[in-house]
Amino acid sequence: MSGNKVLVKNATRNILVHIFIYIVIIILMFPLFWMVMTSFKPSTEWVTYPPTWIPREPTLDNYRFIIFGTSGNFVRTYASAVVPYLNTVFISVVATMITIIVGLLGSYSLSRFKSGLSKLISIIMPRMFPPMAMIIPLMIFFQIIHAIDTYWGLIIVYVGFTLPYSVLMLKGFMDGVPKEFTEAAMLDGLSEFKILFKVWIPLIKNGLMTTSLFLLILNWTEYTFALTLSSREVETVTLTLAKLFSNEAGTYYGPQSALGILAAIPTIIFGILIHKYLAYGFTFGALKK
Amino acid sequence: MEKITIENLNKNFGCVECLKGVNLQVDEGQLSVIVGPSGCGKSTLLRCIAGLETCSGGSIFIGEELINDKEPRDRNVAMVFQHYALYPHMTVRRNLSLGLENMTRLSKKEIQERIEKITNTLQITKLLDRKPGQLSGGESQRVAIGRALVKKPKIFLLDEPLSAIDAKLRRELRTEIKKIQRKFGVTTIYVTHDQEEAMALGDKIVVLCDGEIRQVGTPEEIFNDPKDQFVAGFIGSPPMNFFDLDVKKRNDKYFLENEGFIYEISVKYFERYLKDYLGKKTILGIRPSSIKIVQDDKSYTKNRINAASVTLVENFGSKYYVYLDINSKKIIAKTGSENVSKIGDKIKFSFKEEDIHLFDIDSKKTLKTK
Repeated sequence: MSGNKVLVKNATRNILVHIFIYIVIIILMFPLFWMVMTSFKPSTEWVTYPPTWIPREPTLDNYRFIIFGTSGNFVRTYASAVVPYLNTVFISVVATMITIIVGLLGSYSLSRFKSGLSKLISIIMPRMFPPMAMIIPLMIFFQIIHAIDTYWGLIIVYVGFTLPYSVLMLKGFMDGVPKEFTEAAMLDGLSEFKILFKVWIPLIKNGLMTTSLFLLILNWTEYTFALTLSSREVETVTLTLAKLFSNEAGTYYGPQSALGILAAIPTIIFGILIHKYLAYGFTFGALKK
Repeated sequence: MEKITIENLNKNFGCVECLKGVNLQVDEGQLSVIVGPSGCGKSTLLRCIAGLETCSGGSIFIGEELINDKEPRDRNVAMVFQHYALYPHMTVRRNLSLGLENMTRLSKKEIQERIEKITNTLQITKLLDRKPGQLSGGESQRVAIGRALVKKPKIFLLDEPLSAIDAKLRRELRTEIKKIQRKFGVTTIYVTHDQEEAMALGDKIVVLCDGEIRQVGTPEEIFNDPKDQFVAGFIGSPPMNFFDLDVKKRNDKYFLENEGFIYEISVKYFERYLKDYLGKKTILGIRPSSIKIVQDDKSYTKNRINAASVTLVENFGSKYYVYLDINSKKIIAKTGSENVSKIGDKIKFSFKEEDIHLFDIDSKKTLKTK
């Protein structure tokens, strides 16, 4: 009898928990759903009331517009978003790679040699005030060194502003590496570089993946610096999205959604590729091995 | 094979003195065990030898060479860590070869030959392509020893290598370590907090407490002639019983006594060890195995038999630990399988004069110096 009661109680609780999970998932996924649907809607359906949930006349026009800059039903022609897209890929991937490499070296020395709080604080300093506050001096400085509207200029800024995250996150993972491994490596005659690359990095692989994804998303979605430091020659996806928003022919919700979807795909794919590391990465600090 | 000489070694962590003037010599090919309670500095001492800690003062020689300021890799020492620290992302083969690649100029082929040779000796050849996660405790242990010895170190250090292993396997591995050490003949320092392990393994035992060496000697010397109360209490299981006693003289007979406890000693014994202590206090130590529980044993008539009540009896099959209470002072006796005492019994016990250890009440040093 009581056994059955317990079973029933557990089952009820299970169902409730799942209902709750699905509610959260629906809330989280709704904007994405709306974006996907809008990206397939013809312009007549973008802002109709009552809204159409599923496009009545699904079309690829929005995607065509994004890729070719023009499409049958749009009055205005526009630059293709392919170049900004590739720009974003190039800038964010290179910036992430540099940030990770520099971050690894920085966090290694901080974690291994326990050099005190002051150095750590100086590293997080750039993130302690809003990026906006840095923009005017940066713009002037970039003007002087001719870095405005260049790939390398934007990459430097991205590296500079994501490095604190990189160092802090990687340091967290590195602090979890048991001291014995390092000592065994020292006795095996490994140099500091080899200790980092042959012992530590394989041990914090999950953390490294988590950090890379995080930084990639930061760089991928960056808007403020891209707008102020390079809006003409080197345009990124975020800028293209904004331009579509303030188009004189009205706001292009459909192409915007299409570009949004296209822009989300790489990070989603990367996330899926490394998802098995992510789960470990997030718990690494909590569990002592 | 080299000897290690440590002279007046100091190590401070901030204002905490961890090692206070340690002097020690370990002979070539010898297995020395450093034993002491946790926090006594034994691991620190080992890590100073390995170069993982810098010394605050004193000198360490390997052979005739001063190694204080050398990097760990230039010291030619190998170490087995408490949790082995096998690189989890590398196969056993890579674990073994990594040190050789970085420390020697051997060719790939020579490295593989060396690995083959050592793995054959340690019987771990079939594990070579596995990763540490797939090894059992005993296997990891052997691989860790292999990784250390494949480098042909001058000095082999082991830092509590058995503490993470369950009791039964620990005993097996203990004998194995001893065999391996004999086979390779490498000068070895082994750190443990387990006195039983120390007794079983060591050619020489170094008892360390509060950063000071209390006694160095063979297991027999340490057990039979402890130099002070700490060593006496630390070595031996169950631990030695201690009593604070007055030395008294009545009717030309000499007694060690306090409330509820009177023990008569011979004049000869008194003359030899306790002459200066008449009317003063001393500490008597007696090993549980030396305590005899007596019913009407005629051989103990000379000594006062002390009455005590049994509070607990632990049965180990071939032996019993009998916990006694005498005037709310706890003592442990170890008896053979013929034990008949039960909880609550009033029993009498005694011990032989020659089994007594005596210590000064202030300095805690032994009085039985010959």
